[in-house]
Amino acid sequence: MNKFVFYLIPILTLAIFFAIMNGGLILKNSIGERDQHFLKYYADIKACINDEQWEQAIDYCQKLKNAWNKRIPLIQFSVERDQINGIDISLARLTGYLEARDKAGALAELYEAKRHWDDLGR
Amino acid sequence: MNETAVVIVRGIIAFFSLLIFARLLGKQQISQLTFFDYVLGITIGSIAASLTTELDSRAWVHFVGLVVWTASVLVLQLISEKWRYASKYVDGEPVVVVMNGKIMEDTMKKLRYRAVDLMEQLRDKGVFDLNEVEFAILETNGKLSVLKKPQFQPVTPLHLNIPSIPTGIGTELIYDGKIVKQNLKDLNITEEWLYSQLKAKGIDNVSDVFLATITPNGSFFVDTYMDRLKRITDISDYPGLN
Repeated sequence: MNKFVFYLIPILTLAIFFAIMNGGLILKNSIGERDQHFLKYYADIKACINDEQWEQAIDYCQKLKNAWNKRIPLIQFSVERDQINGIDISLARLTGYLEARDKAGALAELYEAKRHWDDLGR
Repeated sequence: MNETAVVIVRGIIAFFSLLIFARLLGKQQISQLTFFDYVLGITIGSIAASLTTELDSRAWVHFVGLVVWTASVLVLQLISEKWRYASKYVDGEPVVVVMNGKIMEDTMKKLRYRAVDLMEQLRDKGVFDLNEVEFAILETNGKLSVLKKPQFQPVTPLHLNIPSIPTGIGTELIYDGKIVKQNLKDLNITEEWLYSQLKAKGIDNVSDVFLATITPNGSFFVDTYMDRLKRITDISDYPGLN
């Protein structure tokens, strides 16, 4: 076998593995439309909670869940399962607090979801 | 999160990473491994297994662990290769446990090597009488090398003044029904010659041959798929398939 190809195969393989294992950090922000982004909805929900616009917050929360669910297949190979589950659980609790019109609980869950998001892929 | 898909992808990453790193570390045989090498192998394998199934942590951290252990082994190998004292320090040294037919009890005590271990390893070497042993050396990989006393050494053609012809290493000419053209070319053998040899053995087709080899002294070996044995020796203790 050609010496160049002999060394190229493992190097290329390891490079692909590197990309798969570290792609989450890039993919979590770069794929998808900006206005449907996790952080955009996070800011919208936070503003709605502070203004106590509960119906609007619930609507944004649903959109955030949809955006998040679309993101999972892309990042699942390079992030921790607990972080994905953490965001899922926080968003589920957030929905409950929003429906109960509980400002403190909703903000706490929103911040927790944001914390998991920040840690995702790191 | 599709856990099955993640495990499949991580499994592929672990498998091929391990393959690449194992190739990088070299072709040391299991029988040559020291205890430390053995433990290293288990640890690296264990990290690869964690990479595959421990979804609670990122694949990357396990991969880094794999790289660190492989690199450490590689560095240790390079140091041992360049610096003989480092090699002795890392792998230890062979120890004489039987010298001039005398068992070295103090040395064995230091090694926590028992007389039963010595006897067992001697038997493994075909030595059942300690009187036959002149030297026994416990190698760094835990194997025992035995030098028998001259009167117990096996007779060779040299002792009997019988001329011997070097046989050399057999080279494959036909493998799994196909001619290995590269080997024919290297040995300067023509296909016509090969066909004539097969014909002489009563074989018409190359595809009937499982393996054909030749040694430098011209000894031609051929084995066909159809063995045509009149009586099959069965060493199984049980009837039916085994």
